[in-house]
Amino acid sequence: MSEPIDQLTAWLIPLAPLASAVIIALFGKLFGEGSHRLTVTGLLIAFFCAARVLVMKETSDGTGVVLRGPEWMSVGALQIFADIRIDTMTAIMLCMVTFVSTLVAIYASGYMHGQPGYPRFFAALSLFVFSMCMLVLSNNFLMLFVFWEAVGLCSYLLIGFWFSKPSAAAAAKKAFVVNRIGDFGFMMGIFLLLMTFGTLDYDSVFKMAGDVAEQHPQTITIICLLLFVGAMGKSAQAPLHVWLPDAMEGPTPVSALIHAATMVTAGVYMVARCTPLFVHAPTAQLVVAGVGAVTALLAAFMGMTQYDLKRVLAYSTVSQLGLMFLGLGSAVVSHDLATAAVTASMFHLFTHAFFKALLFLGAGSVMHAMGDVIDMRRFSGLRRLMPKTHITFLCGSLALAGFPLLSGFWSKDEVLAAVMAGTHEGTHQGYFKLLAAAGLITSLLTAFYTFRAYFMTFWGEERIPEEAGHHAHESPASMTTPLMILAIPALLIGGLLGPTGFFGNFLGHTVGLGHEGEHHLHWDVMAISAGVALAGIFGAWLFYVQSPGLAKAGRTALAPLYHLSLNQLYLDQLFTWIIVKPLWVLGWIGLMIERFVIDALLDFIAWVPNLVGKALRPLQNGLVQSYALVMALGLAAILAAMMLR
Amino acid sequence: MTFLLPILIFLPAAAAVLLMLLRSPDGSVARWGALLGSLATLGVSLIIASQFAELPKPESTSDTVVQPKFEVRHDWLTFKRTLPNGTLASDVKLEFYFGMDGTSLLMAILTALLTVSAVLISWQTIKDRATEYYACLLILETGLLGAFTSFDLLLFYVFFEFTLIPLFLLVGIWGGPDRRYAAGKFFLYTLCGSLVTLIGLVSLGTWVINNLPGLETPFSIPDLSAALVQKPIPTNIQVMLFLLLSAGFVIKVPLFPFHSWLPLAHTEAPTAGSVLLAGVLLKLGTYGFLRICLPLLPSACISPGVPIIATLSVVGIIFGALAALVQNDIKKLVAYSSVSHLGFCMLGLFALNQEGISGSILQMINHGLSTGALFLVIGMVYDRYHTRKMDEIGGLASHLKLISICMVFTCFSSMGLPGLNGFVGEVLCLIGMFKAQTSQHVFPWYAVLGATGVILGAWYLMTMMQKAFFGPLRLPDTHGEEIHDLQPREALLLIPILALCLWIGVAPQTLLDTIDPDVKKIVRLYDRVRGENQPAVTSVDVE
Repeated sequence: MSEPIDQLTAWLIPLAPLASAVIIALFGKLFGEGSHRLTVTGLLIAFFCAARVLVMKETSDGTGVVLRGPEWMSVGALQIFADIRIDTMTAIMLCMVTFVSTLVAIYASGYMHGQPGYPRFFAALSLFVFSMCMLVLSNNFLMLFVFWEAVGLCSYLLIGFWFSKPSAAAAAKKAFVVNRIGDFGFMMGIFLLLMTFGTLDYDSVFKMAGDVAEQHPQTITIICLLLFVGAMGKSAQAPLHVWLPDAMEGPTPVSALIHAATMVTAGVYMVARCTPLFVHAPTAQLVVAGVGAVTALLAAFMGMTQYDLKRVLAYSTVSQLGLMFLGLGSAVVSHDLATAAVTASMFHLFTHAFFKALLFLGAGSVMHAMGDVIDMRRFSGLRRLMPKTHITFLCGSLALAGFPLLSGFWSKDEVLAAVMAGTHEGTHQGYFKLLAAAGLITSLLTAFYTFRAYFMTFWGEERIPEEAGHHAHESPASMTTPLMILAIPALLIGGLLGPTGFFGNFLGHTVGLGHEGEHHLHWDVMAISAGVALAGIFGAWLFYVQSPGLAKAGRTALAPLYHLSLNQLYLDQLFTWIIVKPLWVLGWIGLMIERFVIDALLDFIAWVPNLVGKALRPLQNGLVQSYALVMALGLAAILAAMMLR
Repeated sequence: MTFLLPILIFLPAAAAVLLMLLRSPDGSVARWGALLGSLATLGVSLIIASQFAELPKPESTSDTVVQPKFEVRHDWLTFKRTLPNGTLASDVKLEFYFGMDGTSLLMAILTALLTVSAVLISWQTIKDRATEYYACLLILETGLLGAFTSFDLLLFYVFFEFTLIPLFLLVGIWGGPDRRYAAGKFFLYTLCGSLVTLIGLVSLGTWVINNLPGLETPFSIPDLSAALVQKPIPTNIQVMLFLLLSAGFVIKVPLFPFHSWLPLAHTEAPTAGSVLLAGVLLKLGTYGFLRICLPLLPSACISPGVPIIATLSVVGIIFGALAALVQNDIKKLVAYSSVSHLGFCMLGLFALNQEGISGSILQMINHGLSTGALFLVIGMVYDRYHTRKMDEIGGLASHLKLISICMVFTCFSSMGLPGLNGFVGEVLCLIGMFKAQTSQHVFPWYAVLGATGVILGAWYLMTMMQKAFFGPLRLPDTHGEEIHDLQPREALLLIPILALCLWIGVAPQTLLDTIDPDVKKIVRLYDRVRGENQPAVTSVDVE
């Protein structure tokens, strides 16, 4: 039997990156261009600890363990300890996070070479990994929220890394504020949870969920919906997804790590973690599935026409996150299939992290060579110039498109199978037919836009923008090595862990619903999704390699749709006009009320004594006769009053 | 221990007198003297803090509502009391009654710390009448410390009013171009409010003298509050007293719509004035509610206190945030953000439960630190470029690296990022209000609407950072003056505040433990009053 989890191993996972963050932040000048060494060291320690934890006793036998941390806050009903919790779900997340982040850090040492603020970048990156690990490790909702915001902070700092660029500064602000909207819902959900359950600890809440659901079914639904609002912000679900495409202003390693592989999946993780709550709120689950499906479809639609390579990938991330939520929501179908549905989503989250990080890093490699040009209309035919980037990008694209037997194929297949189950089981078959259709169309579009981007970048005649100068070349080894390492899990990990049932059995311990049981391969779904993926790839080849005229013809034929997609459904403009501007106007109205009502009233009150003075001034006119007259009249009045009594 | 308390309060005033006597023409004596005086005061407050936890717990009964952990009491005036029916009862004593409980201690440390920063930030900017300026700062400190450590109603009022004078002078003499109007408005507005409060205090005293013949010290807050537990003031009189007493406090806080003096006073005040005004002076209002209204008038605080104050707080939170959003002057933006943040503070206070009141006290400290730091940084920028307009400066982060880092840090602290101080206070205030409302089976409107301030808070601060600190560099003409990044003096005055922000955010329990006994006693009073309220109605019906 493997050894039990000890405090040191567990705590080193978050604390090693924190230590490197603090050291770089304080002494960054000393390290300069060597700062990445500290980060990589910290992350490697974290990765080894995470990998160790994965095979240690409490994770491998599925019991999980909670290690008591310091007390953070204890007031009245609120008692919060910074505990860390390790079970199979956290162990998987931790391994994925630390593995991808280590590779990204190595890649970034090449990518960020020569940039001003090099230490700042690595300090923020280490801080992010710390926060992300703590987010995953937290054992209660408040600590989850604390680190939920902390990863948001790191995201803000890194999107705005090139802060003197106006678009980067604006994107950073947008990301933070939009996330805050989601966090508002999350916070309310946590408050309601605290009031309903009297505690915020996962175990206690999940244990009580059934009883509470019987007494207050409405409350559970509201709690779940509010928590999901938080997830919508962080995981960029429509309509709160608008920040993610803009977040591509950040350095590409950041896009790969934070805005593709890890942070944006925090919402999925949270909903998966809360499965024991969500199963008691079927309405909330239906909403989760619906929002996921709509997001998946819309984002895929918007991704079809983007010319910015990173934006294509950003929309693809939004779309894939939507698929994960679709899977999570499909847990509503039947209690027996719930674990399978949640596991499928987590599995997709897991595989997606590898191939999407790979794709982003590949895009970064292209950007690096092209002198920071990322518009796909400005370059093409790079497959001979950048062979390593080309091959690894192709691996990522195949995995994302769901090419048979690659990682994305297996995980997407499981998600789709969970959704399809709803079409012939349970009480919402009609609804799930729509969702399944959305899922399949999304798969088709995904394959299409992924290969559109691939063909536009790497095929056709070789064109290089002038910004790249004459020395456009394959990226250095520090960048291509992580690409090649990431290509392996992108290709294989799905096939190794998925169909064997390994992932499902391992994770099933944690979901909180008991075991999944026999792992089935869904041959019918696999056949359909394989067909869809191949059709999408073929479509892209037809439009962008075989006869490029077709793409142009399509653009003109479907001009309204094309513009709708290119301009991202005009959502930014819509939000500006229905939210941002009205609030500004409201602010001005408030100031006007302050000036012309409140202050005017005050001025009036201040003017009253003045007025009284003015009114009374004539009395003191200095004429002795009038004083005498008033005296006499007064005396007469008093005498009259006395006599009449 | 007790001997340190009068030293703490009057040390700054003594230093001020010394400064005036030892004046030097260039003001260097004043500067250094003020620095030494304020540092010594801070030292004394820290000595008290270091021993505070070990002090023996004072004896208390189940009736105790307010109780200092240690105290200094001296008789001041004694007069005979004749009851309305003509009989002679025990003498009435007025006292010098200073003391400290956890809340006073925290407020005193905040005051002492911010005064040191206020002195240092003025180091180079105040050349004109420097001696008088620093004397004003120190006298203001004595006023504030006195108010936070008074446990006698009249004594509190004296200090509460007294703080007006030095601040009036600070704004009126060393302020910006529109300083006279701003100072006048500030002074008259707050004075009018305080006079109504005085009427309230006198009425309260009269009622107590007439109806509690056994109470020798009717103005001592601990004695009075304990006596009132047994014999509460009739509810209708409580309501009247609450409205009268609140008048001064709501203006000081300032609660919407009594806030309009604040943005003006802030924009015109010199940096040090803004720091002390926002950091400490506003807390006199919330502190007044906490110290006087909550323990003495529980029924009136429950109703109509909660609905009135909570509604105004929520309106203030949203109004302040939206008004901050459309400002161009950074200092004005921060002034409006104070209206918003103090709304959280009042919301928590009138949750009237453990979470809310603790959060509120914490929020008083947090707002003092974060907003104090914001004003300090803005002051540093203003000293360099002589403008605070966001359309005139931009991209400072590429020019003033360290100052910008401090600004980003402070903004995050102010917008309540977890891990920094603001979060703990805000979240506790909101949880308190949420709990207060849901436990009465009401939809938690106040908490939900108040929480939108969290979104808006991020929005206006981020917009400000985006415009002034990020983006391409845009600087006004400095006429050849050389611009330096953060100076050692500035680092010295700013870093301790920022360190405290981080410390409170990471380990808030130390502070929460300090105020825990105070809060628990008040909460116990409210549990009792709420428990009695229900049967009380039926018994009246029976009669």
